[in-house]
Amino acid sequence: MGRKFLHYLSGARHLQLFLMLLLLSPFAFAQQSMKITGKVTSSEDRTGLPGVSVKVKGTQVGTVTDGAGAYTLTAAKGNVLTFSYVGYDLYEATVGESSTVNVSLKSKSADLQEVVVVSYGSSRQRDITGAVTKVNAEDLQNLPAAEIGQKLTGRVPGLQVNQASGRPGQGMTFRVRGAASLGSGNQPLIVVDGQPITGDVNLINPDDIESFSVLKDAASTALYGSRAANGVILITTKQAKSGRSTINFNTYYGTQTVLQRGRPDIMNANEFATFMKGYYEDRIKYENWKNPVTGLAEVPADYQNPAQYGEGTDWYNELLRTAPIQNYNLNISSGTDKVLSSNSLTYFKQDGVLRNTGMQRFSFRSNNQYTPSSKVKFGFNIAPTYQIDNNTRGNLDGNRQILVGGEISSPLIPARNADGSYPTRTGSYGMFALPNFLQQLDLMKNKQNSLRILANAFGEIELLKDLRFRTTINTDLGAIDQNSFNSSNYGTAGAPGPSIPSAVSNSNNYTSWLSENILTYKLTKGDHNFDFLAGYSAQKYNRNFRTINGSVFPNDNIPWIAGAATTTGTTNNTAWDIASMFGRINYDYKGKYLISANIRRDGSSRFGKNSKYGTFPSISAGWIISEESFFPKSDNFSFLKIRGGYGKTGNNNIGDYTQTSLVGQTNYVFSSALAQGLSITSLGNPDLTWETSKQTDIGLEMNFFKNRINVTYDYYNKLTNGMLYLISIPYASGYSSIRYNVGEFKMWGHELSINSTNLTGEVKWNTGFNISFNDNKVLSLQDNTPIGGTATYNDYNRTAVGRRIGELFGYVFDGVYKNQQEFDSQPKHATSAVGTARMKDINGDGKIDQNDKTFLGNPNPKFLFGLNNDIRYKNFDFSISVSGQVGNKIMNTNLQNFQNLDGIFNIEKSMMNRWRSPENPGNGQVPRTLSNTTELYRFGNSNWVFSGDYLTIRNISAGYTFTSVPKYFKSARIYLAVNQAYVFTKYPGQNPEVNDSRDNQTTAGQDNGSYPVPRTISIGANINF
Amino acid sequence: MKNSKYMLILLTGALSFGSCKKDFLELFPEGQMNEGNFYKSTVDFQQAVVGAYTPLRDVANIAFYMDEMRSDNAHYDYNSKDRGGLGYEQLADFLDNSQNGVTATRYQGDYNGISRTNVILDRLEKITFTMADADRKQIVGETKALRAHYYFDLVRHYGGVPLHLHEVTEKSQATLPRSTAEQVYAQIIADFTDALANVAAPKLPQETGRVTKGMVATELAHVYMTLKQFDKAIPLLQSVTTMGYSLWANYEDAFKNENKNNKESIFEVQYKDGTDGQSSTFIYRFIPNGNTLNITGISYNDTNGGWNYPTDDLLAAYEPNDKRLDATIGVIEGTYNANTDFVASKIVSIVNYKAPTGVIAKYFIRKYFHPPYLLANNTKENWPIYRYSNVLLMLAECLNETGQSAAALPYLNQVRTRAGLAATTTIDPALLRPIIAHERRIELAFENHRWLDLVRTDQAIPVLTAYGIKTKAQFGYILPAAYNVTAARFIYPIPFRELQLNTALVQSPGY
Repeated sequence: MGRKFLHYLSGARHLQLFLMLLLLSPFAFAQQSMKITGKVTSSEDRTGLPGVSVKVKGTQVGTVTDGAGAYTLTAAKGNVLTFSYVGYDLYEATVGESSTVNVSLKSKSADLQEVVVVSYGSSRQRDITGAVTKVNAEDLQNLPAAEIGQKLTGRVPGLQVNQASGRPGQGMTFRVRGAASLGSGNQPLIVVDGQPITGDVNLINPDDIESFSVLKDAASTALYGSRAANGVILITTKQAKSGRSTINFNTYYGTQTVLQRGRPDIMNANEFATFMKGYYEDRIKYENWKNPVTGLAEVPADYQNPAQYGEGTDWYNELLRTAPIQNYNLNISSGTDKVLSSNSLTYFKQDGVLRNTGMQRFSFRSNNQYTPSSKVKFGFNIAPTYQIDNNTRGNLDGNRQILVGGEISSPLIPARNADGSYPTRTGSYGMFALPNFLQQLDLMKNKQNSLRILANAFGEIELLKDLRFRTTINTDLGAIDQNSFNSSNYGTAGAPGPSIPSAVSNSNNYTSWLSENILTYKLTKGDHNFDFLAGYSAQKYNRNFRTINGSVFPNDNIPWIAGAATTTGTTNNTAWDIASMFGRINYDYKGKYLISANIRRDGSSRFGKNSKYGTFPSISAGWIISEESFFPKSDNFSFLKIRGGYGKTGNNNIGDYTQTSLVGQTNYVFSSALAQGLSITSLGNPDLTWETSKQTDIGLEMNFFKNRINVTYDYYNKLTNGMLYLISIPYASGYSSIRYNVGEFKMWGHELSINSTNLTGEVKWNTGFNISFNDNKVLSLQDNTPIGGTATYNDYNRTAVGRRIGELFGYVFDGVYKNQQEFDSQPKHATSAVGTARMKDINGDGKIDQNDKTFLGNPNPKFLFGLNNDIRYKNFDFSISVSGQVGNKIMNTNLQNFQNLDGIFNIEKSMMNRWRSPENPGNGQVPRTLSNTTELYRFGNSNWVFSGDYLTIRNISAGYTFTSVPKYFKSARIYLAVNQAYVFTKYPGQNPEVNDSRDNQTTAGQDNGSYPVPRTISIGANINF
Repeated sequence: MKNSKYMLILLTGALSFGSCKKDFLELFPEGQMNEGNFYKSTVDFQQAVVGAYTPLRDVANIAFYMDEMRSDNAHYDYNSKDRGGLGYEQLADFLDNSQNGVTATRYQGDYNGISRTNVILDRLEKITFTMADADRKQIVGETKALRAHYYFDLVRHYGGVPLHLHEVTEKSQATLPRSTAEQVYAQIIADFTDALANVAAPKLPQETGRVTKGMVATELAHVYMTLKQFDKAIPLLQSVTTMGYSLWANYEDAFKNENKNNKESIFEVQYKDGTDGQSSTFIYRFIPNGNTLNITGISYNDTNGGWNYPTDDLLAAYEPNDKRLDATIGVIEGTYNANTDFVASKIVSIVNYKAPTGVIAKYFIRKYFHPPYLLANNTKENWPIYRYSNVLLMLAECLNETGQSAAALPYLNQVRTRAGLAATTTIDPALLRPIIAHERRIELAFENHRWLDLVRTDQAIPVLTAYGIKTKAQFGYILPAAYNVTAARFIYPIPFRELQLNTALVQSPGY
């Protein structure tokens, strides 16, 4: 331990105090012990349950039932025995006079007793005083998914999970309780088996997951301190169960197709040729246009006779295909009272619905726990993952990339020539220089290989009775290697091939190690139960990265940079460190008054020298009213808990080294030779620090009808100070931006979830419903200068005081000037003419210019919801899950292409209705095509803004479990599932969940034509041996 | 004690993994310098001065849109297939607004240069090491000259701008209001005057490209001329004539790469070819879009060409047998394919050129075109800011404006004689004035002087209004509202972004 670090720890007086407190607490009380025997059975079929964990509550005394469900242990009169078994309610029995205690366990109906993983530990659901939602992965096994996010959609109130893109393995975005940050990331901290991960969350194999805990409020996340402001998702991976050995094989195979709904409504060949004919007629009429090829004032030959073309080429369809998705997972787990071992091997492969794209992933996980004595436990987990992304990280979507490029290509040109070769250009006469995007997609060579190893080892020892020390070493290692090669046929929109072959190789490898040392102590005195935790941790992250560019290849035969005539490359490195200490006290009185207090102190290398350390406290309390004597004992209203919490958390995603002004290379030339120049090129900010969220949460948990219906309600109110943002500053400073803790935002919302066991008899029917309302408001910004909305192009959002974060921003389209009289009497833009676009004169100064841009809508949903139903009858099971959101607006920025009136792209069918003359003004909503007047109509405007409401049937599945199975099999289930079965939405684009800027809330709600999200129909099997 | 064994293992593990180096939370980037370890030596400051030259290129790379295409010298090749260049066209057509990308880029480039000079000058005050006097003089001189140069560029293009004279270290310092043009000019004159006392004289014939006394005296004279203080410019310009500069025998030699920074060069923006990021690409802006193989000798798909095309108006302005025509303007022959893409076939001389039937001829600027090139879109051509012939014409103009027309003639005729033209003999100041102006237009064509000269000599409104009428008649795609040349358009608008981020700023009238 370095001096600095020790100093840091020794400065922590409260840790010392806390330890003393722990050690000085004397306790001991003797009781009369006796031998207890009994049998544990299932309440449904009265058969013995093997492997049930039986424990004397508050001690480490415990055992496991044998094959017949019988057990023996030693306990005293008055002791409470706990019986726990996965899938069954925890049962508690008090030892009376009898030495026989037989119990019957009910399979899980309500989740009250369920153990939930929380920050640095676990707790019963009923005892939790924060806003925590648990999801069991078992309930999600019918969902074919490359990413864990696809499984969580619509399951957790307050967790917005959107499939922003259909790119295999890269589509999901998470957001806990609305937007949390401006530009410093909104993604929650993901913690896998206690390890906050540093790399791509999508490399975690969904099949290895046992459960998720979504921690939403500050009280439940504060132990993660400066990384907790966006919420925390704790992932627990599968561990073997004591006394059980199982072999499972799970598999599914499906096909993915892109639905017709949401495909672009663009012109076919006949329509496009007709439009272009009119376009040139108008140019001849209004601009004295002559064909430069022929010198004649006549419509170009391509368009003279539109009737000769039929449908033409549907480029969007040409780029798509039906693609398989498949998964194979084998898990072998074995548990004794000394050793628990679970090993799983998974192969996942998803081909993309865009041709020539796809990913595959090989993953292995081994979780092992060794308990040599009742006081000592060791564990070792390792999970290597190897993922191959084939072209899914290429320029597939986005403005005029392959997908959109295809959509705007001329439908007059065939996708392939008669001989099977590709036409290399797809622009008809006078069109933009477009390559054949089908060819570009088919020729793409962009492969990324990622190796990821998550590993951790821990040791735990009971130093004194109930005083435990646990030390953990975690590592997160990654190596990513991406190679792309552009052949001589490579081309992009505006720069079609042929081109000089070039190649890029990007690679990086990172290591993150984390050492954690934790003391826990449990103390029960009469009705007072204490639970203490104290710990310190240090985490170090280091990443080396490199880029090599190769250009001027002699031909296409060598795709490696070894074949390039010109090679340039660079290497660099980045790193961050965090040192932390933390503590928690949980207290409950009689199990009905619950208090929890947390504190974490983080020091980070990312924070400026003026503010190195941050302290993040939280406190929460719960009161189980239904335990009170005054509460009427009734099966109809069986449980009532009220809880509240307040706490402070931070967001440290500010990038490395941003607190320092950086001196960059600004080289020049003297005497025709390079002269080394250096200048301050980015302005640092020594005051830079974490952004702080102060969050209040009030929750209510109620169960009705013998716990068959549980209702949870939460209200939260979050005030975030010092939002970290790279704000623009005037160029006159010599810099364009500086990272600042800029302002103050308020976020609040309501969350409601209802889980109901509708039917329990022969037909079992469970319903889960949740709904979350979120809203936010900007209270202040640096100098109250709005963020965004200043640039001419591609700047479509503005964050301003008094409004919501990242509202859509642009002109308000108001039809066209139909005639000279309208033109003369109404406000105009410098380029306006009769028949051109009329934007609203918002500021009323009589002219239309950039000062007339205004707010066009809120990209954040007012509420989001999920509804899940499971029905079982005999051996059949059926489930359907639905989710959706309401109230958000989407700006389809791709309309800058689809509504381009310059005669250079294929465009929307509706553009046919354009103004052509005062006598033929069209529908008054589409401007004319006159040169130099069309730009205004290409600026972001209200025409591009649509409602983003949707309701998606995420998954429908039906299964059958075979109970009479051949020898060597225990059970087998087969199922059929449809994912993304249907999307109900008025949004005309493909995906109403789209959000091209992903994690940047200041540019939210944009659709630039992203990778389509397919429907998947799959068949699967779960086999136990 | 079995458990103590485990405990020992655990504690050892915990402590060994927990140990860490001393400054665990103090990390600095290893791949980049930071302000904490820079500005610590004379060499650091000299490298910082190099960095202050770099923004000259940011300005030079786009200045022609504002300084030539706005004038009657140059137009553009209307590209109906890609309207992405509309902003450039609007500068030419007097339809530009405050969201124009070019005006913002120039503004930013000038202020980047100013900021770098301010950082140097401020930090020079606080150094704790000893710097040799000669080094300090040179650093201060070059730095102040560059600051004055950037402000001179700003004030002529944007009017009175915020006058930043110190390093900005936080946002609050970045929001100064506009100063008046007079205040900016006063600072420019003060800085150039300081620089003149500090920088070294040119070491002709071969210069390095740095600021010299010759550059400072020339540009300061230019400042005075812009303020119509011709008498103050004369001694400065006369001093330049004694520094050893002279004209090349042939006009085109002044632009050749082998003659960079040589006897005729007062100051030029430096470039070199190669992959180290120092190259220029002017010629690729000045030739038609399409494959460049038959033009530059290198196959490259140029998608940002067709700018700064010589106008018919300029061609007509050349006197017969002016040698400068062939050196300044060339012809690219080609044809349109069926898809209206221009396919260039070869370059030919403009002298007595008549396009054969079936051939499309496009004029282009030949001054900055010296093949062969090694790499695509990558040349070493420098951009001239002041040449000695400009000094001669400036001196002629100053003398004429101060009633010494006869004394002006030898300077004017040095330039004319080299161009193969007869000497001018007119000594009537009113007659000589347009002759000198015309000579400047031809001699300095496409060196970013034409628009500023028209404004400076109060000729912009009459000349460009007439030119606009002709141009609109020639090209059907130009809007009727174009070429509304008013005094408000003598400067460009303050970029919209600046107004949004700094509420202390007020837009120039008319924008």
